[in-house]
Amino acid sequence: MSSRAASIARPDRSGRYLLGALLALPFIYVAVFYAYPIYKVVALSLRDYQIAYGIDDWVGLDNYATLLSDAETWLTIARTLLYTAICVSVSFGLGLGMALLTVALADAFAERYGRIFRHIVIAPMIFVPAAAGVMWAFAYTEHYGWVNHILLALGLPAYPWLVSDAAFFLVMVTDIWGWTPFIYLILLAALQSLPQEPIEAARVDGANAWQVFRYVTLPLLKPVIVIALTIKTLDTYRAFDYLWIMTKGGPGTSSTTLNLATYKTAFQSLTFGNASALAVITMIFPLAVMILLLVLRRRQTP
Amino acid sequence: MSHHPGLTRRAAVAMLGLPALWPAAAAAQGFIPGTLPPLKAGKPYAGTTIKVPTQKGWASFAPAVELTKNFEDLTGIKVQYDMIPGSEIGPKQLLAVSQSSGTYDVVTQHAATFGSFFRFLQPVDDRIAATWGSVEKFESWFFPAQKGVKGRDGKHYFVPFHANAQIGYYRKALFEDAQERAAFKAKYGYDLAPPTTIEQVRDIATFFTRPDKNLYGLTANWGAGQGYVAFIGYYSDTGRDLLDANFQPTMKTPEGRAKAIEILRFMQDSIHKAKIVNPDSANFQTGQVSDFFLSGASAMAYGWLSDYWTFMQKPENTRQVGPVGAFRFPSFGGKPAGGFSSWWVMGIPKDSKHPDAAWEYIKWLLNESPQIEMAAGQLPPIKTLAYRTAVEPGGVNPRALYDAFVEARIAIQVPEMSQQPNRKGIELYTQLIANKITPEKFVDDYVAEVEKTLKAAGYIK
Amino acid sequence: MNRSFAYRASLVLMAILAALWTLFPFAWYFLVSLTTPGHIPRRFSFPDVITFQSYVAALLGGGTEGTTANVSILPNLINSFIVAGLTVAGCTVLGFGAAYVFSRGRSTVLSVLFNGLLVIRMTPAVSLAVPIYLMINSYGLADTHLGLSLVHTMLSLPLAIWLLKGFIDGIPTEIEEAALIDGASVPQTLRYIIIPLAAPGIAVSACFVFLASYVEFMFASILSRGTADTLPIAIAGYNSEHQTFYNEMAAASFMSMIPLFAFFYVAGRYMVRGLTMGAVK
Repeated sequence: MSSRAASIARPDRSGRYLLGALLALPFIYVAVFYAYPIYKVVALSLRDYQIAYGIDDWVGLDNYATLLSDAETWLTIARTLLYTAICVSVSFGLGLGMALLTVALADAFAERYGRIFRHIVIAPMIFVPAAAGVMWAFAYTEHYGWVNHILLALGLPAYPWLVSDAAFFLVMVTDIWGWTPFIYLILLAALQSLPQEPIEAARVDGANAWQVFRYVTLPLLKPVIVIALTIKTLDTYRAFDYLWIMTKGGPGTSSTTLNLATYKTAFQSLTFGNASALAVITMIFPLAVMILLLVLRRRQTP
Repeated sequence: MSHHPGLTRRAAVAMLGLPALWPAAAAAQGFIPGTLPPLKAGKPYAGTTIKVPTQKGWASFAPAVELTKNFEDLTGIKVQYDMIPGSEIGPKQLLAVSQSSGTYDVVTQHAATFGSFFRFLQPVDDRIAATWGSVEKFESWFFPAQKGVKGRDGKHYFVPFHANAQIGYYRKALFEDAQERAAFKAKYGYDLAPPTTIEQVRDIATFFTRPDKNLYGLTANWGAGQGYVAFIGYYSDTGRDLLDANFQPTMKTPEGRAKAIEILRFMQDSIHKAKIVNPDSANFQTGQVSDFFLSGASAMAYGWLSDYWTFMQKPENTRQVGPVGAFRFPSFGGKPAGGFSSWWVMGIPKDSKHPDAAWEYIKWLLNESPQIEMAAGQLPPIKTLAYRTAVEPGGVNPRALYDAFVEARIAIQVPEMSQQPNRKGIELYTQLIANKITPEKFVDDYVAEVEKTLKAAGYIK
Repeated sequence: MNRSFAYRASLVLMAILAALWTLFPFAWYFLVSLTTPGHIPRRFSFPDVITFQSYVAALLGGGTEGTTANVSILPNLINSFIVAGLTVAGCTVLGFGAAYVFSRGRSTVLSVLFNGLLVIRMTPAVSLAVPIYLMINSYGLADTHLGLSLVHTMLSLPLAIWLLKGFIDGIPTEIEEAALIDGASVPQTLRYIIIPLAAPGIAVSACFVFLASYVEFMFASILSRGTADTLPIAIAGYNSEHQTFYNEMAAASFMSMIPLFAFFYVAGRYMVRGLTMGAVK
């Protein structure tokens, strides 16, 4: 097993040192700003650490025991997964639909209509998320927002959207609005670079549009879909901006996901020990997904 | 220099901006509370920059920010403000000072959250005595409630610079309209006037709630943090502190519990059942209340409204509602009361890099010049100045604010109360006001949280 | 191929629906940004006068008292650019060498390390918030451009390495091998061959890193103490407990999208590569 930088045509010794250093630098950085914080957050999760009150005691697994025996924690986990599941699946459906629509538009009219449509569809992506958050929160205000303007125009009473049970789902709408372009762009790029021969062949064999899509296009897209869904799932799981700006996790805790719970416990309640335990719990899901993926990939490419 | 009501704030600021006028004004009054003692010659602090945190969008503090140029010219100290969102102003500063990061030279807090800061602050008794003669003299300038906000060791750790109480506003034209008055009298049997009891609040709000005309009886700052504080305010008005002498929550007693539930039910039902308060009030802070009220959508408003008094006294700003009047919000204890007194205070953290310069700033802020300009929107915490701006003719504040404040209570009793119980209280409160939990559930969970905190801190067993 | 009128009409209809979905939410907000500060109709209506006062007020401060925040977002914009610039510098310097080694090296260790980057990229940022907050504070770097950019560099470094590796992969190895055989040193090879050839890739990676830092909200908010506040903090800050300046908030929101807009034209076609960390090209 020749595990050395083989394809570099034998740089001299100083060259190899340089290459080593080039690799070492970022990893030292990662060690300081990632590995150490990870170690630290695990260590803190075993302490009752409340910096503002001068409390810093080792409590073992107490923080976890308290959290896991609290129904609210499980609700928070459930909300996080629900948020992720809904946002990802709806974004995917919409994104795929719009990508297919783009291709169809370009095909049925002219290339440039597809391009124009693409520019329109990705508009939410070029808006700063914090700005999109305040914009959507504004849209739901009782007397200034367009959502209630529509209700009023229909003769219905205005509704306090963001202080109702609907709030959590309304943030999802914003998330879907803001991040559908992400899935859309990836799928569109994949669609546009698909080999045309199998599709033409299927058409010649008399397959209808649905059959072509189902049995030819979709299998060809599968690797890209897997990547897009994985990244989107983990990104949605990490979502913070919209939730924080639009509802701050409220009303009550009805839109508090793991991210918000960690943030609130840390920077509002200032109980860093508890917050660290929550932070560790928060990390479990993405870590599991990543390990699973890497293992699967290893298996596939022996 | 007396404040002229016709003078816009900006014009006043511009005039006071003339450095020559400023010391003269102070001197003309002789020794008044807040007068800056003669400054050391030669600007001993020249070149020092101090960092002062304050709230974002705080209209009543804006004159102080504008006048800061004066202070800088006089002392050579440069002031850098950190405008922090109101909901983060407590935790953010607490984290900063607790890590000795030296970020802030001054801590700016609401008196109710100041408790958590004592351990990170320098006592200022010596500075007070050296500046104003004696601590007793200094204390005598302030309202009684201020006495309750010292450190547990009896020392002073901060100086109040801003005082406020929640009051109600009403539309004079509506209340004085002959037809409305007749209809009201016919329906309720008494004259239409600003309410003096909670029952009257309910009657008047019900009377004016007209969905077809897009009019609500009342709009209030019952959203999240401010709504929770409004509740605590109403509760204080019934003559109770949150904790009794033995640190037991008063909401545990049958009467205290009943009162708390009555108040919460009033808030919840006004929005969800009686619908006499606009639904978005469950999400409103005072600024939104003011907007809503000024757009003509409600007959009365409740909140930290003194911030907008001057603004609302100008006809061009009240075209949709006509003249605006103020009233003390009635209490659930049966008589008009002061509500939750709001003190904003400044102290010097132990990690301050420039404590002496910070003290110069605090002294300056207490002085007549920024205080009188800031009075449009707050009450100077110094009694004589407060009286001048709210009671004497030509004052910039409504009388109701002064009257409310004289009787106001201070909710701070135990430092530990100001963090977790408040967080939990706000969380529960947002559920309550969204009609997701009952008042009983709120009181039970809230009391449990308070007891947990007090137990952990060793006040009760 | 089916190109009947009905088919084309239904395509157009769907396109219009999709366009409404993405664009309509902007419409009212945009109108509000063009309305006189302090005035928002309580029913949907077009402003009587189109005015740019809110844009001017947001950019320069000032405006009619009580209707504007009287705060300029220019310092925040400058802060955002400084932080993002430092982050780009950090990510490029740290990332380029690593990307080169990852691209040219063949070893199990390297491939494990490389996959490790993905784990870093996918770790919820909030999980690192407490320790990073404590660290940055203990170094005295809270509320400094450097402090925030150190954190942003951490967040974007994996992406930068992935992107750069993808571009370097596209450079044929023959050129540098020839150079090395001719006696060029590694630094010379990098300096005269790889860097010039990878320049477009460096630019694209810089764009992504810049924007990631430009829009980042959570750490910017935790570490903010007034001096180094970035633009997203300023925009969210128009909504305060005391007053909400909707017109200015809208104006600032629309102005804040300019760099993103520019990027879309400059590096738009590399967007997919960046979004998927180079996994899809």
